[in-house]
Amino acid sequence: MIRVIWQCLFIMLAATVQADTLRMAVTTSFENSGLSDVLLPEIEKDTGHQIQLIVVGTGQALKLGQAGDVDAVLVHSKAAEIAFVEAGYGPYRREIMYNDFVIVGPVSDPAGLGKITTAVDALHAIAAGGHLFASRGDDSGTHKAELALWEKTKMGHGGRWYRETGSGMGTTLNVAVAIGAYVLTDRASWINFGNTGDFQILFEGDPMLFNQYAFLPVSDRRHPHVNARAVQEVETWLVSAKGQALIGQYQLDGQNLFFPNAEPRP
Amino acid sequence: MVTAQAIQVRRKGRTLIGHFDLAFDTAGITAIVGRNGSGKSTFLRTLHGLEKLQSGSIAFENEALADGQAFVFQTPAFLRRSVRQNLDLPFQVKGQTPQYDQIADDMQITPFLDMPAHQLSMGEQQRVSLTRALMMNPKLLLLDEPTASLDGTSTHLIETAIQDAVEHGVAVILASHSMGQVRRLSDRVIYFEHGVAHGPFDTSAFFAQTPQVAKDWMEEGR
Amino acid sequence: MLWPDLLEITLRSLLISLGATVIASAIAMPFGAWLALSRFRNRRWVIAILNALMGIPPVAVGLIVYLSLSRSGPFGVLGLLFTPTAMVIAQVIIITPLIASLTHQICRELWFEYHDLLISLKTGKWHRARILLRDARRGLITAALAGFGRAIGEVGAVMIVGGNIDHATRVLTTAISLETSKGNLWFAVSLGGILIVLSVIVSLTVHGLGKTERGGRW
Repeated sequence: MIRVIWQCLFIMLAATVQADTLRMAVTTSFENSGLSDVLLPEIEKDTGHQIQLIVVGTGQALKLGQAGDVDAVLVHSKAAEIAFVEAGYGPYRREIMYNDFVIVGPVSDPAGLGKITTAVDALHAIAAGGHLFASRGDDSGTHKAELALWEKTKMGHGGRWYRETGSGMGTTLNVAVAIGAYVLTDRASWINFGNTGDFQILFEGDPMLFNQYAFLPVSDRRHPHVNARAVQEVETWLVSAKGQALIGQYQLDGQNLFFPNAEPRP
Repeated sequence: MVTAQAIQVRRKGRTLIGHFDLAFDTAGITAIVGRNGSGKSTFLRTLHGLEKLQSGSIAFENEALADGQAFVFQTPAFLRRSVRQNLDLPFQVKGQTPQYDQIADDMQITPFLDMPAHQLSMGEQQRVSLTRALMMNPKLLLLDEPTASLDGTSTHLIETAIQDAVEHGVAVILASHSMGQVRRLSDRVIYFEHGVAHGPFDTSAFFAQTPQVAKDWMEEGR
Repeated sequence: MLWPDLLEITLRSLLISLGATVIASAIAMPFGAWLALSRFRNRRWVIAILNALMGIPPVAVGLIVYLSLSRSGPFGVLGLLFTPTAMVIAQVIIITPLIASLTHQICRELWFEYHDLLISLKTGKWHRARILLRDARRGLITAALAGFGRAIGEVGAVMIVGGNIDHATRVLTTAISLETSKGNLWFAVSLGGILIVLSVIVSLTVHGLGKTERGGRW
């Protein structure tokens, strides 16, 4: 009995330390949207590299890269990414695609977001009316984007109406639906979210809600064990015509979720 | 010969036995008598090394008496296993092959060798206990009220086995409440009161002319 | 999630937690028996610390294991972070105090019963421990199952050290967490149901095997 268990464990362990496996820390939206299910098998087919995803917020993803626990990160928070590169944790950042943030909330829309045209005004209306707002509060890309917007409203956001979940997008959405709070989310996570209750998108389309994803290799000078060659090949695949086309074609509920915008290597 | 000098055994601040010297010959059967709580059991357990001496010393005439001991507890002590496995245990400790067919037959326990020891009757359990003690070929056999609350058959089997052992040169120390048993079996008597040993007294003398110290106790028994 | 995926995740949960339980038992049971048999000066402290360790939050264990196994940590060169091995290590640390404490408790009661007999028979310490562990096996099976239950139901630590990687380190609990975050609450609950069924099956199997051993019931 014990021997059988050991054999099984051994096989499992052996399977996870294959040479051509590479670990990538990605933000929740990349996996929750279902895009990874489309891209990863194609990447494995074309490059032979099996990618293991560690799904976390942008802040933690960059920390995993900093510690050398992953080979690459795919995140969406430009300022943090630039700081990451400048600190020498990664050689550069490569923009791959973007999607957008939306504000969802109860159909009744007590803050009247439907009649508002800018994201800043929308948040302003929520804060001014003291309507419940759920925030990730987890140092993720979405959280950083939200904080940047609050900055522009020039209003405080510390009242009883402002609820920080300290959790991922999904958990925050669950909380928001449960308490009837407005919440800023990336579109992909929202469309792929199952427990929507009477919530719907109440605000969208402001260019300020543009959400850029970038691919950052982890420095192989700092962490020699990083599989730099494989990372390079995966990056090349992501910005290739095929990769970009697959990203652009991906739809959920008839909607495009991601828009490829990779540019030639800097 | 066993010599105890100024021994004392304490537990939780209470002296169980102590403040006496005692020397007695071990040949044959030595009976230990006295009221409940007078220190009989503690003395037996101390001889066997189950209780620690706070002070004083116990000396055995030779090493065989010290090392070749077997103990039969008042409440039979068994592993939660079958009778057979319980009998095998002492041999396993010494790394020997178990051999107890003859003794088991004599003690009439062969039919329940494969039963869980705890499921036997008290009499059967005590017979198994004595079997285990005897098959270890002890030089000194310590018995703590082995026949207390047993029926006649078991008591008879056990007494016979004890006498057989004595004939084979085993020294026996027997704590007992049964005056009949003490009178039938023992060669000398040690009387305990309040943790102090008195004696040894020759058995026939003890019953013919009870020493002053044990007189009250003998009166109670009648 | 597809059926093969579900089977894979269930099997992985089972193997990782069984592995952790076997390793933890191998450490905890001899230690618990030793603790029951030994009398030394700081024994009370050891027992108090053991009982305190039972209450250590799994997430804290996860973090400590994470920091140790991270490439930037002391054992980073082993490359164990985000592997099933890391999950087994975390679970072993979480359940060893539990199993050791239960073993100590069970063996202490049995030692109380066996004390006179085993000393009378001049058994060595090693032999005593073996006898205790053997005769307490029914209680010890329950202790091991308690450890297994805690291991397989644990989510915080294995999420941190395993990373919830699909086809590599995703187990039932982290899958439940993931599906909950996707808002697939009913699916998450169903996975919880599988977890319970799995625990029941393991418990019945282990007890079934135990009953067939020689020695009967006590």
